[in-house]
Amino acid sequence: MNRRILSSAFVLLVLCSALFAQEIDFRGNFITQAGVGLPNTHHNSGDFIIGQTSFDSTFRVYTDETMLYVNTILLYDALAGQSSNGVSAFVSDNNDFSLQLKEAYFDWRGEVLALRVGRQISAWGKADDVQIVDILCPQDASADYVNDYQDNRHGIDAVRLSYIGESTQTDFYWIPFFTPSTLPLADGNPLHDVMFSDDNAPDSYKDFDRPDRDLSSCEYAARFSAYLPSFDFSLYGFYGWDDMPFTTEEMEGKYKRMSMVGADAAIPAGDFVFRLESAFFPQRYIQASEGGTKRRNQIMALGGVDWTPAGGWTITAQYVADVVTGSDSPLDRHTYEHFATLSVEKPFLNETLTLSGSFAMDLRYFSTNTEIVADYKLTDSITLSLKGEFYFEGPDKEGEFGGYKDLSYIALKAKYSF
Amino acid sequence: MRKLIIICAVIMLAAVTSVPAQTAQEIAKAVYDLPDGNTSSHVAVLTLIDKAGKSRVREIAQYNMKDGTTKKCVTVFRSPKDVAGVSYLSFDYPDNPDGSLKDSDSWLYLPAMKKVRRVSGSSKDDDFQGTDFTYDDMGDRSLGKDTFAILGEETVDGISCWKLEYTAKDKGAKISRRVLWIGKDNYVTYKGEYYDKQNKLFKTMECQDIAQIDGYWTTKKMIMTTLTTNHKTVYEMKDIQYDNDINPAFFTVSALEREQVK
Repeated sequence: MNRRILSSAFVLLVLCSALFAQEIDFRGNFITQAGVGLPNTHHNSGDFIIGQTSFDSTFRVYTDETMLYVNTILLYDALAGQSSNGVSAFVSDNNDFSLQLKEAYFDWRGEVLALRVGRQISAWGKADDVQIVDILCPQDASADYVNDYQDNRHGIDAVRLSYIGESTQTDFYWIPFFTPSTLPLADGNPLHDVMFSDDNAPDSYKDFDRPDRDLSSCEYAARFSAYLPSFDFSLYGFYGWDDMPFTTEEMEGKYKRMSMVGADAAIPAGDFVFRLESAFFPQRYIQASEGGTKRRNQIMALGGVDWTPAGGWTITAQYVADVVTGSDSPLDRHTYEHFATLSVEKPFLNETLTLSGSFAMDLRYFSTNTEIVADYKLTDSITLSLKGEFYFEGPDKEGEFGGYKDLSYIALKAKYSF
Repeated sequence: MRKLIIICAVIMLAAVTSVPAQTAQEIAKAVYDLPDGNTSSHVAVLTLIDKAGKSRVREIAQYNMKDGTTKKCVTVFRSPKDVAGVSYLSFDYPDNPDGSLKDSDSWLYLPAMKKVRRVSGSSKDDDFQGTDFTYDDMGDRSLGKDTFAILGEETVDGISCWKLEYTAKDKGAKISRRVLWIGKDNYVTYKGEYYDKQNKLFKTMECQDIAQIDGYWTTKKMIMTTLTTNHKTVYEMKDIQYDNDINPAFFTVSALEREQVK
């Protein structure tokens, strides 16, 4: 009943806004995709491991200096693999439908101050598809084998106050309600078996001990960014909660406090743009291998380069290091982990066909992830894509990407944009 | 005596009527410096037509502002819908005093990524979004990239023009040579030919619907045809305004990130 009242109030709010608006913009896309496990994926071989149809719509209402922005996704999953984190989506009981409220906020811009209130997505950092300082918005970890990194961000319920200069911007965030990552809790989700063993699999997000909804549990964040002729740089600060739960010694899921300070820079030089990013997490909770947590200092850092030579080529390379202090034991990870990525993209036929490939390798065990995509624009509105996603273990051990080896697939996707 | 008077008269007449001849460099600079207001804005409709006659349409809105010697420009895609909202901010600077090029500062906002990305401001020889125009064709190509020569004078649609040759200093440039027909009265470009590295005619440009708007010469329609693929792009401008009241905040990265420019 409460849901029905809330939904009605929300629709009423949008309709009233539209009524008094000076300008309304409605756009979005419809996507249908299916993917099949490759022959080396054991029990997934020949099985569908992707079967989704989604309707993604964005509604913008402009009045004077204010914009109302609402983005929702209605999704049908033929594999019944949809899960909820209790905040970002309603999911049907049999896990095949989800209705996601990705963002819903109003944005006001004055001379030097700006305010954004409501559910919103902010992307931090200069890294591509790597989470270092980009910790403000939690990830949908139940969909990261289907979607691109940027599509998996959840909106956070926040108040964002900005001070805007000619070439600088300072943002302050107050996040009253914690939003956790979404985990692949549904049995139909191919990631479920990768993330959980049968004996410790939770059934619902309600099985996790979440932060209280009170003032003492709020999150706070700030960012300062400067955009200068020779380079851009940003400074970040965050005090809040780790978006992923930890398993306690009693084998229960619990969220822990986390803080972070970070910085990044982008430096153009001819056809190149060099990118740097680093974050320090003081006394961060780290999962222990036998359950429970240990507190350690953690530093993550990235060095990357974008190269755009003539001919429409875009080539990007990154190196990422992740270090925690102390010894490996009893952590559920190594104290030093590092990996590298390489991606290449090139358009053809007056940009009707785009071929792209990306490759990532963990440099401890040399496990790899390779993604190859061909996008063909049938019309300005319709794009057809063929995608291959390949995971391989390292020569001696499974490694970071080897755990996904049974999720290698080839998929077809059709997208209609309106 | 009578013959001497005639010779003197001819010499005096020539002295009175002759104008000092302009060099190719001076003409190219006059073309580059053609007034276009302290601010300006327009909507451009680009129609891409392939050899089978199938067409695709892109619509962009563009806002320009001069800030001292810096030219600031923000471009926002309105269609096709899958790239609607993509916006690009660039600050173009004059060449260095020694004639060397100074790279632009450029930022790209992709709504799907939810963040602004610093991009290289050096390469402008690439095609603009699959059209037959390069980024250089769409803006003001820096004078420091070329050497210049006057190939002659010709009339285009009744307009007396210089035939001005721009030769790229970069020997590896995709377009090695441009020949543009420049109006002698107004320094407006009336047509162009573009030659590849083998000095073969690669693409041609026709300029149509040239008129003064608010006192500024404006080319409202250009057709660029790539001869090797028989693919062409028709570039048409509408809603053209000069010296208009554009919010200076549009030319900031914050405006891109907040999707303020549309």
